[in-house]
Amino acid sequence: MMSQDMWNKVVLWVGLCAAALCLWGCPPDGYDEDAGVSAISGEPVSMTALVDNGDYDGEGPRNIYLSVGAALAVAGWHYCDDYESPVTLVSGDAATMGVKEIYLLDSYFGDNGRFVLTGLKAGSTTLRVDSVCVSKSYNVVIEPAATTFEDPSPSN
Amino acid sequence: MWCVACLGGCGEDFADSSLGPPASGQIGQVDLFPECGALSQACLQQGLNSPLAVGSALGLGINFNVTGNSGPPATLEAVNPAVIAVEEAVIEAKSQGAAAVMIVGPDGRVLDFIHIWTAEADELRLIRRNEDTVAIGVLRSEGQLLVGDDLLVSLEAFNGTQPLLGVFPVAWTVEVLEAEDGATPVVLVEDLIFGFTRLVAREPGRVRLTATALGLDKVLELEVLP
Repeated sequence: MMSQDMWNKVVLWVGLCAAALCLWGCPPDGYDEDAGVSAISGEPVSMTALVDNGDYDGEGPRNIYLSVGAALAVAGWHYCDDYESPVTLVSGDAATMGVKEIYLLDSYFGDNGRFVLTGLKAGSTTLRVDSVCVSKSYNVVIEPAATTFEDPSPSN
Repeated sequence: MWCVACLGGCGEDFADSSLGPPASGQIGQVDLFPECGALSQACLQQGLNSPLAVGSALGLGINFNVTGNSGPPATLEAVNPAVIAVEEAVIEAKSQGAAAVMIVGPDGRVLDFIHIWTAEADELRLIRRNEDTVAIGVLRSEGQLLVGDDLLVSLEAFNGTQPLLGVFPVAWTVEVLEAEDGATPVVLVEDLIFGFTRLVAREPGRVRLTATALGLDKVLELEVLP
């Protein structure tokens, strides 16, 4: 049978290990571990370029919609304990959606990376967002480029 | 490698270009100036606030909104070359649509980007210029000149009422409708500035001039009076 002293040591080490893990990658109080991207540029007229981050509790599918030829600037974010670490983005098919890092002339504390997503070819793929504590995936739909521009209002 | 930040004429065809007003990129770190050339008064006045005519080209100059640095070497990169292609510092409208053009730094990171629209031209207009090359009006489809008169003109592309950006080659043909044998009532002289053409009335007679560009024709009939 384990002595009280031995038991105290086990509890202490488990606590220290948990604390070390949390210092490396636990989310701030009140948040679940999460990571993603948010659009920081506008949607061009008659083109599609948007990020759908699902509902506020982080549940539900996350989607990115782009037209072929469109570019969308996004900012990375995460709920990890290391506020300043940037996320990295990985396109599931670099021929369908391109990902390029943005060079910022003026950065700020807590910036988690800026990127340009580009619609290269119609189709579907994924975007993986890797943070220091968690990875999340987006469904990506690249829509065909519009070649004619018609009045979208319904006819009477 | 060409640097796109060579304001005032990066390509041979644009060596005489004038710069239009700037447009900011989506990230706000770069201003882009169209190198308008002689063909587009709209470009000089509106900058990039018009679509680019399919079949035309436009040189772009760059101004970096940088403090504490010179502008870095940068290149243009097309997102959809089927709509907007990039040839060094010049963008070319290949088909109707819209596509982003990125300004990329030497390490491959994006400095900024802009979406550029293209549109098919459905009308050409002949613009008369004064000796200072300032546009003074749209030419009617027919008119009269006196021997010795000359007109400095340029051709501009429109889609509906919207003027289109871009420079494009123009082919002129002259058909003599009425003149004494061997007479050439009007002579066309390509100006030293790309995009300007001088119509010189030499002898009495009537001619039909046709300017062909972007798959369209613009016809002008002139009568030269003695």
